[in-house]
Amino acid sequence: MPWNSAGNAVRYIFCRISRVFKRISIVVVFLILTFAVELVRAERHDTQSYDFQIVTTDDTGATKKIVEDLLKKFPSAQTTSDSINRHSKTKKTVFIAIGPSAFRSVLSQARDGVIVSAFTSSQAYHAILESMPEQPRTVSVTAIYAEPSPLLQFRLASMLFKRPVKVAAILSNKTTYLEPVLQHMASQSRTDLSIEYYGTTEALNRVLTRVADVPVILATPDSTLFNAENIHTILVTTYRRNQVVIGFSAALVKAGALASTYSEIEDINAQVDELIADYEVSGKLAEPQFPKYFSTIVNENVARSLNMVVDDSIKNFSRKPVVRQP
Amino acid sequence: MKILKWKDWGIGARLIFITTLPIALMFCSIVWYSYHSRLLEVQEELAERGHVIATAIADSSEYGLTSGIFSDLDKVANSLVQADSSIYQISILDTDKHVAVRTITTGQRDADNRVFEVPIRKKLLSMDEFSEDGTPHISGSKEAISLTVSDQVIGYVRVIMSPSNMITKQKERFYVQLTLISCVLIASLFFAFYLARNLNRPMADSIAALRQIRGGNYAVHVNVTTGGEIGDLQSSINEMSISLNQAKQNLENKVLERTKDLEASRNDAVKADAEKRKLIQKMNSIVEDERKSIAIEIHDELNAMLIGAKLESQRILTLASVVAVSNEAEEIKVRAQSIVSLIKDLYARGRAMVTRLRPEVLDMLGLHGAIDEMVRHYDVIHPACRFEFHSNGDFSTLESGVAIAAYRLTQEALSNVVKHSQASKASVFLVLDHEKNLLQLVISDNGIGFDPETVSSGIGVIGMRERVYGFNGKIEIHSGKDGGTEITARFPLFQISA
Repeated sequence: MPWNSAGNAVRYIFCRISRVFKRISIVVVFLILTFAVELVRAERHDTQSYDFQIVTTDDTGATKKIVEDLLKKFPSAQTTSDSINRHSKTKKTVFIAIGPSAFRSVLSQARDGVIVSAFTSSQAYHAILESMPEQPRTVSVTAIYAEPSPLLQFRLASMLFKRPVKVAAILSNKTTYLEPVLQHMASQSRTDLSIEYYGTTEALNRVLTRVADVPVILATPDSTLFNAENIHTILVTTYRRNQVVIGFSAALVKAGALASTYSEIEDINAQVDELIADYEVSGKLAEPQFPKYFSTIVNENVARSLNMVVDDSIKNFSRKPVVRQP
Repeated sequence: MKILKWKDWGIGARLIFITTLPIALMFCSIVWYSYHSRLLEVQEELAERGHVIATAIADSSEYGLTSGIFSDLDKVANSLVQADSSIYQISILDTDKHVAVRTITTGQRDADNRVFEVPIRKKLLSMDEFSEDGTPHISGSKEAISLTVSDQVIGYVRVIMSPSNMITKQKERFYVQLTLISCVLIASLFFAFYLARNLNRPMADSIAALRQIRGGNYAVHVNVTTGGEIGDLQSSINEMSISLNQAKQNLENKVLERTKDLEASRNDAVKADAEKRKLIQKMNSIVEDERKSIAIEIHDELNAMLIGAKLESQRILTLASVVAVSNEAEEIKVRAQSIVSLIKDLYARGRAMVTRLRPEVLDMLGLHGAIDEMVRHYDVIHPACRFEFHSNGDFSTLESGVAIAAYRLTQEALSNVVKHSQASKASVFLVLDHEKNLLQLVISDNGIGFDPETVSSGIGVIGMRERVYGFNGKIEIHSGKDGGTEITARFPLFQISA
């Protein structure tokens, strides 16, 4: 850099010093905030002002693993199945519902307290809520959805194409709630989003034809569209049209979708932990949210077939919770 | 039909049969099995391939049928029909079995009468759909997914195969196989003939050698041309020929020695026989001479004295007739008469004895007349039996010894007829055959007969045999318990030298 004058040099030095101080201050603030959160957590766990109940309705290996991991974060939590325990009148109960069946069960039984739905897709979450009779609820409900965040999926699509790319999402009457969410996230990620609706009486091929010119199809959990009967046809059809399918689970990627972000059990549990911690501190229950901790999976065979180069930055596209020291 | 008599086959023919029959049967069975198995293979392969092709097309036709884009299906079907010459037609039908795609081969192929139809079923990809019920939704689940086929039929694939090309290929392979097997069969036949010839030749040599041995030629040798049983046989034949030759030599030596002994014995016997004959003849001659001498004595002396005594008695009778009649004279007369009668009787007996001792009738009448006289005499004195005599030939030159023997034999035979046979008829045939130089005498009767085996040792029969034997003749006696006796004696006219 040419030096025009001594003043410029001094200005440059001050500028560099101010940048360094800014960075140091950011780090200090981050450390202070982290310390504060830890203090709150410590205080929360010390005070034990909430009862925790982990509700399950099955005993599959995955459920056991979820419960086992959650108990590490909530050692005092009780594990219940089917019928929930009557909670104490002095403490508020936080129900952590593992899966849609557990969520439905808790929702139907709990009279007050907080319900955190985990490992339930957004479509199932909304469907269960809507299926409940309309009555004043004294229970607060929130969720960590099971499927990946559309925002992350949009970013993944851009990374795959190494440029902003047009993405089509096919919704049904069960997932109409997603349209504003998707639009918002698309705008966040500068993604050109095209939303098509699929009617139950409509031929699948017809709606696929409508999005035939869109290079990326975003798959969202929707039993109307992405069911066992249609998935194979969707994957084959999009493949023949050289379209990329961004799945909603690692399993769908294995089945033939190109890529997807996904969250492990530990990722969801960490987010549940954080959500409850925030609630304990602020007393305000967060809105249902998509997982924020994730990894990325890419089907190399599909990528090779579609002549797509998947570099390591895509494979390493992830976010993991900070591991707390015991 | 001779070929059907397998028991008469030679070793060579049997060997060829044994060698070639299994190969021929195997040839026929392999050819038959190969032909039919290849046809069956074509059918099975067609069925399998038709089913596989139909299944493969059905597996890949879901998208085309559900999307309504048949061009891909048409391309696939066309490619398959062009690539696989065993496909005649491929049709893809919808659920109502309306034809969506149909491709028929353009080649000259025959269609098989079987249709391979496979339903096109919708595929299900089983994975977590994140449905409203069920287990927790885990987007990071690494559980395996599976593609399953549902029961929902969305169309059909119909494939008709063509066996033409496969049959042509199988025929070519069959012909190659047939040629190879035929070559093997021919090679086997040649090998069988070679073996048979190799076996037959030493066997023929061995059989020829055995035939020579059977014909008495033991000095044979068979070349041992091979090993094994045939070689052993050839060696055994050689050993046997040597042993037989040695045995033959030993036997011949023994036979020679025995022959010499037998010749010596025979010579001794002949000599003894000749001496015996000579002795018998001599004895007969002596007996006849003695009889003749006694007869002459009786005739000349005794009969002359009897005639003298008769004359004396007749003188006494005459004298007694001229003396006074008295008792004494009468008694003298009676006694003289008695003496005369007695003398006559003695004379007659003397004459008879002379006749028996010396048949002088032979000297007067010859053999023919003597026997004729004898037969007539027997016929007279034995009215219960009729005696006949027949003769043929000139007996004047017959030697006296033979004539006496024949006469005595006839005399003994007729005596036996009278004494033992109880016959009602007896005949005597006397024939002199100059051509054969043979005197044949046959005496027969119709009597009760006798057993020659038991009676042959009797004095009479022995005497007859001895008489004939003494003149080198032969005697045959035929008789039985059923009746009748025939005695045939043959005397050679040339007597053995003394």
